[in-house]
Amino acid sequence: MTGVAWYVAGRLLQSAVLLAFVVTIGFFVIRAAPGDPVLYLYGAQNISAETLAALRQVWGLDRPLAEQYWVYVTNLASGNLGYSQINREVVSAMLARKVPNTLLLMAPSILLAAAGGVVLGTTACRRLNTLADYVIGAVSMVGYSTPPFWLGILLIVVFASTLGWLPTQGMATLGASYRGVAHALDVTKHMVLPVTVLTWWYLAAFTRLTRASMLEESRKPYLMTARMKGLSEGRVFYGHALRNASRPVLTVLGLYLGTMLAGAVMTEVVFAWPGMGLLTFSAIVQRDYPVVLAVFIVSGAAVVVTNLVIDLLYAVIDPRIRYA
Amino acid sequence: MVSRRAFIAATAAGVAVQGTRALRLAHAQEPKRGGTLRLLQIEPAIGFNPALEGTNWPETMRMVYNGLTDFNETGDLVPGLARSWTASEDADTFTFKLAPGVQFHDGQACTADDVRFTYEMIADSKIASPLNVYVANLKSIDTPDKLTVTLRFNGPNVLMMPGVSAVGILPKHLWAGTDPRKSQYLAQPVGTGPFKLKDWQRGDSLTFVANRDYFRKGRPYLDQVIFKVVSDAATGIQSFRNGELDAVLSQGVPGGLPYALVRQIVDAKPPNIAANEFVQAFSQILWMNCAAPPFDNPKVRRAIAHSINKELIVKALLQGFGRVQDSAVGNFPSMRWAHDPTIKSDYNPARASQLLDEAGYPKKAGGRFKITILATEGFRVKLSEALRAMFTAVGIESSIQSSTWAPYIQRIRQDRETAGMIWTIFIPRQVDPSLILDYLSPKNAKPGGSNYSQWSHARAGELIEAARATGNQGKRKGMYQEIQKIVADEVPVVPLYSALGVDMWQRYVEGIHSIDSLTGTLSMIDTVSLNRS
Repeated sequence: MTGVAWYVAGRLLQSAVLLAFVVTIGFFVIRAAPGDPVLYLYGAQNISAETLAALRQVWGLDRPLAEQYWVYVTNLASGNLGYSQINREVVSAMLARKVPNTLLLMAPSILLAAAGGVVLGTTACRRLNTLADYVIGAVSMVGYSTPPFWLGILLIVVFASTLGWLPTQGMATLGASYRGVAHALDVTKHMVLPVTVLTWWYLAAFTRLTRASMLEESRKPYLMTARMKGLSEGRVFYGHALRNASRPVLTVLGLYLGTMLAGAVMTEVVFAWPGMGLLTFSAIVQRDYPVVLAVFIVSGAAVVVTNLVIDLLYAVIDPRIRYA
Repeated sequence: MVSRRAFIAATAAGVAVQGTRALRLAHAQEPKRGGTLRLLQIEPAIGFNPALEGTNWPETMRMVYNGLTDFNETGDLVPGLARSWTASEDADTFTFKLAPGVQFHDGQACTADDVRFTYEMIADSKIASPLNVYVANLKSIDTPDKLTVTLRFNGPNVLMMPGVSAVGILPKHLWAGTDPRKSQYLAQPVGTGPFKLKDWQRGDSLTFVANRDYFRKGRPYLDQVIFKVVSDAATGIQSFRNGELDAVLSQGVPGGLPYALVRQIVDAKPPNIAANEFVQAFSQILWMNCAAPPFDNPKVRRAIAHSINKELIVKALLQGFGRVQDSAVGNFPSMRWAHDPTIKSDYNPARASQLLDEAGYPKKAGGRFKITILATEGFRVKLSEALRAMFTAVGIESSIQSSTWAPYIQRIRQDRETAGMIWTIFIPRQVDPSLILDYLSPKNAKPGGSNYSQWSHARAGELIEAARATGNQGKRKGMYQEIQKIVADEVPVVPLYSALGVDMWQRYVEGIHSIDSLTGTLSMIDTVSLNRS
């Protein structure tokens, strides 16, 4: 095996151990929360303590916690994420339906924000202490401190209710049987507001990070050398400084891309977007244990894998880095 | 969240306050056929077996299934799959005659065997159906022919008709011999109802298409009905106002749409939207932990009752969408016969202070004593804040502990030790006095049971059980009147108000009959049509 292959194998092994921790801690933490799915569903009905106990038995919730944990991990080892008693569905099927929806919402938001953030952050750095820098700084500060749910409702009121340009919620027009391009256009229309909310929030983070990183880089002596070699200012700035400044940006991009599978809970709730965020939200409220754990596992695995990819990309950006 | 589900679970009487007559007149002409009705659902449905779900998600359950009976607008039972029925004098035998020619969606005939199978599933202790309580004393089910079914009970059963006779009938040929909790038909239900489930995007939307072989000939008028889940109520309302949804049914309750938003629409009277307020058989009830001090003292409990200004709660918090309730047995159409109108609550802080003094809790700095008000996020916190202000006025200090639903209901069912614990729970399905009074029966007082207050009163307990085991309504009435007086005097609970529901729809939607609950409204969804010009 090559050095890189060994490195990847080692990292994957580490990741497996890490995920085992995630599963174990997640299992016991969610069980420690008061209330259970049986009470959630039937607690307010005129139902006796005996019937509740019988339901717990049917659902396997009466068994010792250690036994339940063992059953869970044995199933997990064979690739079985479990069965949601409360939703009466196989967990993997639930995830398979939600993950693409969440990716459709999150991937464009994060990538747009990263691209926009790099452009804005670089501009702010090139025009340090000018009006442009101050405006970009102020806007990104506002963006970072705006709660997504508030912005979501504001956009709904303005662009959906008042102006009537865009739909308020959902992923597609109800009852419409669009196909092909018409369907894609319909979904895009529904994506505009939630993607705007998310991009707005991520954009602020990327802008501030790029600006700070570029600022630090622009003070380094190697840029002086580059200028003395007679390189143009644009080449110095974009060819050298930006390349080096992009490492921390890439790291954060990796983190965001990794966590995006968990979805954006509040944005999905406000826009009734049927993704992982909404699923996580309801699973926690309903005490739907296998679903909560599956979300932990899937988003944990995604974080691990994206970070590995980002680490490998470092070597591409910075030839000094070698994995051998 | 569950209060919302509990809310939509009711199945009883109701009176349309305005607009219904006009609607009926408009509907006298032949309704237009076709179209898709888009409805708001705040909490997503999870499964399609009424025996397993109990009273949860009746609105989607009733799309695909029919019960033996249905409720009409005045809370009376009317024929469903059963054309007629008879009950023995002592209410221990019920015989139903089924309508002939009814088919399940797969073309198989719906017969007495299916009815028997469904009720046996509800009664089976291994299934642990939440509806079991209504048929707990089931003795046998006979099916002398394909269209006749007789349910026999060990002694009278006054709960069966109001409690479960409207519950959907399952096709035996698809469910028999399988584990109902793992059946594919939980997600692909086959019933006799006006609609068939076409597509289910769990947690997002449910699409139903018309059952053209429906036994009520000529109906339904709609081609399609879509339920769209919008968990955020504010977005749901905006979406409706925007015309993306056609109707929002029975939503003005805790866990549903915020009262203020609904009030805004009802008062603004937009030209394209019709709204209808109606009485619901739901009670918001204040409970106290009677097993521990200070609420183990009836004087303290009476003081609590005197300190609460129910009128103000209804006016300010509910924006008028409610009615003050005084007796534990509410003044609802189907149980008016048992309601005692002489019981009146008395908001009287001075009397409350006097009772607290007498109980040995004199007024002092830092309060007479401290209590904990349990709440869930949202409306219940607001209600708790109002209660706290009222308790402070009589010298009782209180703190509010807020959580999500699951820990809340666990605490209420399990915690019998914490002193000074007080909370509110909405009780739905008040179609018979025994349903609400069961919550006060000593037999349910143990931890985990449904007697949340853990109030154990020998005479009341005796009467509650005796009334349940009596078939004769006249005799039951006497018992219920006595129980109501005991409850009003002992105050194990304080009934606060009964809810008003609100249906709102775009004016092109016709044939909506506002009934006590969403169950009722939608059990008649086969009468709804769209008349877009």
